[in-house]
Amino acid sequence: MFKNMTPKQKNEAKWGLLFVAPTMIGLAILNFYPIFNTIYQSFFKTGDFGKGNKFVGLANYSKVLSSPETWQAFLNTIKYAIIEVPFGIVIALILAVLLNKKLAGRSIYRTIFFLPMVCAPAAVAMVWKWLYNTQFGLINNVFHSNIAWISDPKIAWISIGVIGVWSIIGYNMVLFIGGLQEIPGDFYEAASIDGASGVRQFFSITVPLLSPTTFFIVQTRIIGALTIFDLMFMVMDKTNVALKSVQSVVYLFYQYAFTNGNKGYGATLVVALLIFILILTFILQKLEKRVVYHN
Amino acid sequence: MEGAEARARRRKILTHIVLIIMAFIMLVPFAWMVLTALKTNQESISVNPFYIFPANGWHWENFATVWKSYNFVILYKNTILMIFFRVVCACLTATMAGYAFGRLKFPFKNALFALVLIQMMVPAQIFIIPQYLMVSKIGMLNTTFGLVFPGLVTAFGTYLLKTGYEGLPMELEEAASIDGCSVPGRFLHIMMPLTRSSMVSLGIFTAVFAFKDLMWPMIVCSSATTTTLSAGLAKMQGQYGSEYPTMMAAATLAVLPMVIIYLIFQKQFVEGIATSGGKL
Amino acid sequence: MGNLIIRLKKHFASEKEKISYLDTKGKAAYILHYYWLWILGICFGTFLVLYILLHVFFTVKDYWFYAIFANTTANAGNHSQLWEDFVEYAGYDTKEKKVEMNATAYFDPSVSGGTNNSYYQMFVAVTEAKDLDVLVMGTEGLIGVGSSGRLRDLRDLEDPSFLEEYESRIIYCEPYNEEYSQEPVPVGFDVSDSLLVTKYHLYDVDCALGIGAYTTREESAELFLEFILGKEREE
Repeated sequence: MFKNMTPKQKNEAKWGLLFVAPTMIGLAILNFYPIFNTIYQSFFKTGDFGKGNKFVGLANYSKVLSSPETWQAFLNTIKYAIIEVPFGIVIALILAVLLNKKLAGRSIYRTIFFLPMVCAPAAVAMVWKWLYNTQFGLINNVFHSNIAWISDPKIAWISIGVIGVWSIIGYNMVLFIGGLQEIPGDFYEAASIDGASGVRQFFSITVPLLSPTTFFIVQTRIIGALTIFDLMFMVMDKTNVALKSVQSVVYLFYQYAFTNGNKGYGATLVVALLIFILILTFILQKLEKRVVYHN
Repeated sequence: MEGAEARARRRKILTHIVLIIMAFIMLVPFAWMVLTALKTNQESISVNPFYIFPANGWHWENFATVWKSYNFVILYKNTILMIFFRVVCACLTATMAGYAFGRLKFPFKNALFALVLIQMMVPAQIFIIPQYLMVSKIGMLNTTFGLVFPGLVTAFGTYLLKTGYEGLPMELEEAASIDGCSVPGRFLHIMMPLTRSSMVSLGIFTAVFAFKDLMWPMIVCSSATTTTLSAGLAKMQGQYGSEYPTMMAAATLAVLPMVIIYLIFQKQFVEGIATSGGKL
Repeated sequence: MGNLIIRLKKHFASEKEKISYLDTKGKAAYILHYYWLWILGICFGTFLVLYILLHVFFTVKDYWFYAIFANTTANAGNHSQLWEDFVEYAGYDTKEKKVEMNATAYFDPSVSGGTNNSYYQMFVAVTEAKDLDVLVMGTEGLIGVGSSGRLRDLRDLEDPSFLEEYESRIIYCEPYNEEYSQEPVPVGFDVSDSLLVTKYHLYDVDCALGIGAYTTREESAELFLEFILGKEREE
């Protein structure tokens, strides 16, 4: 494997492998063993009441793929991602750029935007349920409307998406601020001397130089949104009539693998989701070379 | 000249207005949490939206109740230890791997990086049972190591720092390389210090996620003296059932140290860099 | 490998030469400056390996008995009165193996959304790790858990005489998995009149006991049932 390499390249290759070794070994033990275990399980029918598992070949796969419930869950997940990813990123970018300027009370604002990230999830869920409450909720009271925000199948997915955007802004913002810090200040100084306006500077300096960070956020948020779970887990329950048109793939997985004890079927759902995200990621990584600016 | 100044001022006011509106939206749940902690139980379950402030006096004793019924010192200690080791492990392994993925050429690089991405694509629930079994088999239940275990390495952090290293200009390293500086030398003395702000972001995220993690401490640390804040407080949730004020007082007490940690981090690092570097 | 050792030797020889011109303070400063991460890494690595080895060889890992008491606010965890009494009754040596009682679990499959929490995930993890021997909770909830197939089908117990003895207490559930059985499956014993209610006050109303689906210690579970029903230990 080290043939046809100059000594310098060989040296670099050795150090490279050494540097990734701790991470790769850790991932193999902590994550890849469970992943292979899940793939293995997807070929079995789970034994109930302490009975052993039964090999069923691809039966779980044909069941998952022929179930309309699965396709609906995939559609719901994609709908959620379409709300969360773009809005979460654009709002966070604007806030990060505003907060990167010299501004009175900058650190107070940053801390406030960071707060939702550390709030107890139970508190967050309770507040949003209270805001969305049909009879007594703040939103309906303020606008004198009577909308069932989280139990009307037509709007529930938007309401859930709004919570998603709200809870991800702080997270994206911290990443954007980190990226903005790494842009050397002299670029802006030079642009100011040339008389470029703030907006011009934003599009000709900030956007290209920030593109690696932006791409990173887009990539991780797409993955994050497609594996959304916690949010629905806390806000939606089984009696909610809109559940069918909101539940995500991972939520469905949880219902099968944990609540109903059908691990084989749940594992198959996870494998299907993994393949779907893999294809998307592959396309995104191909795009990276075109859209991301590297100096 | 005056026109420009007025324009700058107008823009500043506009910025503040936007930020204040956003800040208000972001603050609602936090404020609600603190205000609920000060209400009586009766008030807290009223769903009347305009019943925001405690009407029958401010019940600070809710905090006292919570503080007394739990050994917060031990919970804080366990949490801080877990967060500290997770942050150290994550930053150490991720910065090395991120540098290698971002700057070096080595065999199987793309395949190995694909594995890093795959780790982020599967729901975390499938890791719980195998990881619990591993910790249990090596006798690490109810220990700090058991708490740190899933955070020994981080795929997210590796990707984040890879992005950080990729963004740095090529010339920096080339010069050092010609001078005969070795790979670890270049990494330690030239590249690593430049990705400080990415490392701070990673540290903050690792700390926040470790802090919020409820599931894992609950599984590996069943005893009250070894568990963390969030898991310890979750027990309280069960104990006090539907007593929201007590629960919210507990949640507020739990959040405080995180806010303080963030304040320290961002003052020390983020702002420190900002004054020397990027200003718009 | 040999190549690496030769190169390391060379490297250290040249480094030694470099610092030979410095005084002690300078030497220390030089080493700290260039090798601090290596030193830190080696110290941390050694510590970690020692720490893990210590635990692998000297920690009690096996269980005599593992129970989860769900939805109780009473103190029934490790070293509670219940724990002490049961250890004494069973004559377990807790230095050899562990007795675990977990009373920090709040989930209820009979309520909508009652399994959407971390406690339930913990229960599943412990069950599937083959650790859980006994689950005690309200009867309705236990029937719900039983439906998911995470409790032992009592007809499969190794000791059928036991089943006959407590026949009047048996609780049945309808499994979610209809292929398993069309008929109700026996999954638990009604223990509403046991010491758990009368003496230790874990529950106010009805409660039932189920046996973990994958446990290998049926006899411990049976012993616990006899204990809470106030049966004298036969020896």
